Amino acid sequence: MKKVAALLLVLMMMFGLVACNNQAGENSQQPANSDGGAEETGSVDPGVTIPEADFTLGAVVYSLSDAVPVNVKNQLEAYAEMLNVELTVVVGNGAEGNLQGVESLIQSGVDGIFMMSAEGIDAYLPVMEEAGVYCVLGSTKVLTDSAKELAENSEIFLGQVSFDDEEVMRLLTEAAIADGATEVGLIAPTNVTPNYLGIRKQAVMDILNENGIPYYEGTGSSYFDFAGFTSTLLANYPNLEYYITVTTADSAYAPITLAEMNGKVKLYAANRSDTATQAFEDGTLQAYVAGTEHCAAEFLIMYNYLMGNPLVEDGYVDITSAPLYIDSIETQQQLEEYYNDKILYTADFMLKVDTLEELEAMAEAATLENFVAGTYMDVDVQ
Amino acid sequence: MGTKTKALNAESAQVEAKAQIGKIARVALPYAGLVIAVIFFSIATKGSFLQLDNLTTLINQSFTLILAALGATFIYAHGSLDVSLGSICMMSCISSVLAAVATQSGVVAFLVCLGVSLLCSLIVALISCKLGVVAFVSSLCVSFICQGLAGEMLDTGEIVMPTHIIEAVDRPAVKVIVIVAAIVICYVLFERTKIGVYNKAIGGNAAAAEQSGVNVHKYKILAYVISGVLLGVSSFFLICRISAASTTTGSGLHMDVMLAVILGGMSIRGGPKSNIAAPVIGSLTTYVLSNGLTLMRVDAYYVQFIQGIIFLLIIFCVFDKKKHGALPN
Repeated sequence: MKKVAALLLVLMMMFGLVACNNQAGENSQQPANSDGGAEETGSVDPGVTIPEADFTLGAVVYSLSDAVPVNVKNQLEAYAEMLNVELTVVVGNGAEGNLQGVESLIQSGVDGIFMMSAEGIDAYLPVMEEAGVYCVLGSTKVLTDSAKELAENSEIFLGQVSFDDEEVMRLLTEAAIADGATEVGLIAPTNVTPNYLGIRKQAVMDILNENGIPYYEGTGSSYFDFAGFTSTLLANYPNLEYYITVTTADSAYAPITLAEMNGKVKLYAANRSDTATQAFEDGTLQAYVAGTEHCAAEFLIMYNYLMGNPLVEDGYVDITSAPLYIDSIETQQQLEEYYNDKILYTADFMLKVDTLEELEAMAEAATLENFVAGTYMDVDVQ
Repeated sequence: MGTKTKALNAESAQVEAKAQIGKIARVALPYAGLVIAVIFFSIATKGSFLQLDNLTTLINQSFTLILAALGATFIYAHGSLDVSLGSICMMSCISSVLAAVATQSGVVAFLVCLGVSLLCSLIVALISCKLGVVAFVSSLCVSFICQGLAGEMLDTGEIVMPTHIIEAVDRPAVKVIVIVAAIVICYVLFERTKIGVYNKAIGGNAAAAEQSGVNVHKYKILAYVISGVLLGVSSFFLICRISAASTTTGSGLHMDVMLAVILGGMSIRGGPKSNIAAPVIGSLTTYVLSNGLTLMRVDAYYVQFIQGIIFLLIIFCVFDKKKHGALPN
């Protein structure tokens, strides 16, 4: 009897939560953060008329346990709310997870989907094409030749916005070499996989090989066992001073045990680090690259297209966003104050960016210096 | 009969009735949960959930998990834990695509997929049974071996299955036939043959089973053979669905299978109460929940929260911790 009562209570709670969530979703969505380095950031200007959007959007992120995809989710939701567009975000990891996420979103009736990963694009793009649902890739780009061909021939692939992963790793690796690295510990999944981690790893290996610098890798119990990769490197190569990782310096998703590295090594990391300030103070973290999380450009590609304004006639939009190179406590603090978790653009600005040239100028202006100065929206828009 | 005796008899009857109701509730709860979820989502989505397109999507999404979980049920029935399912799936997929690219033959690709899966499962079984290594550890070793080999096999990091093979295989009608056949065959094997009966007996008490004349090693190995075959079929359909194989293919499959089996109301400690319906019910419930909540546009955080609550509910209500918990010790 008690078990049945408990079961009923939990079921009521669960369905109640679902109902409340739906009502809340219909009424309003709060931006992630309305503070920022610019005036009226993350808000709708009083004089701006937001056109009615008769389409709905979806997004597939790879995790809710990591700061990067969580921030992508928050950013997309904030822009959707700002421009009166309904958005549903689902989690999908790996090729099958992405395909499942796409299928479920298509069934829910979305008109366009943001994808955070190109894994499984050979499967999900044809599904989207058959359903007439549009696709924009954010935080990564099509990586394999077959995927590039697919995207080029697709009528529903609208664009992609991301770093140049090879450029990011070149920055970090050359910084380590310039600092005196003669051998490097490479923290990366064992296999070179067809995703951003594999691209980054290959780029580091190529640069180190070109410079005749040996590198060593750790072992782990799974693909994402970055803690294992780090621990085994530290144990097997106690004199190794320089480390490069293809992911964050720390995160719930891919922790690399910064505590173990504390003061012993010099680390160069390829993504956002939540404990960067402390790691810089300890002398462990030397540099990392931020900036894949803001999705304003991706949002605008999809928004403009579905509002009847395709930014390119044939082919797709391809924007390379500028990496934000963080190599000191000062720049880390600037990032935290003017960039991290901020909804940077106003509705007025977003509505004005409606050509490819303006979008490219917007991406080019997205530098740390401009965020600090508050001049990142000083782009010539009509 | 004295008053005291009558009272004792009445009390005894009440206790027995309660036990029966509890037993029926435990068995029925996973089924009831699935039915309730389907009804709820059908109403909440104003019929969208039951549209043919969506049901087709559900079949496609749950297909590979159902097959893999059906096979793994034979292993769980005798109380072993196999964490190599994902890695074996990956190896099978990669091998299959390599064979497909080399021969352009779907039949060859399928047979290679099946063969690799069977071989890897047999290796796990033989290490466990013949060398006396705990099944969990032997499966972990095979998992590492597969991951290492896969990296060597794939230069490009990814390899794409030829389109004509995908088009021939990845069809709802084919999947329905395969899944129905798999369920029927597994039901017969699990409930009506010595393979299932003896594996359950081994899960209940291996020593007693052995003393009763059961060849424990033989039937454990047979369980891995069945799992290997079903995992091979599942992997082939998976690779035809996602089109390309990489070293992340099948990642986390062993966890998904374990969750599906538990959600279906079966303890992975195995034993006489193991039932072959659990992986089917659990797999369907998993995908019905995620699909339905997405159709309702529920926030992703709430989706995870609700899935976690339901999982706890099942554990709490279905499994009698004193007799048999959901998980091994």
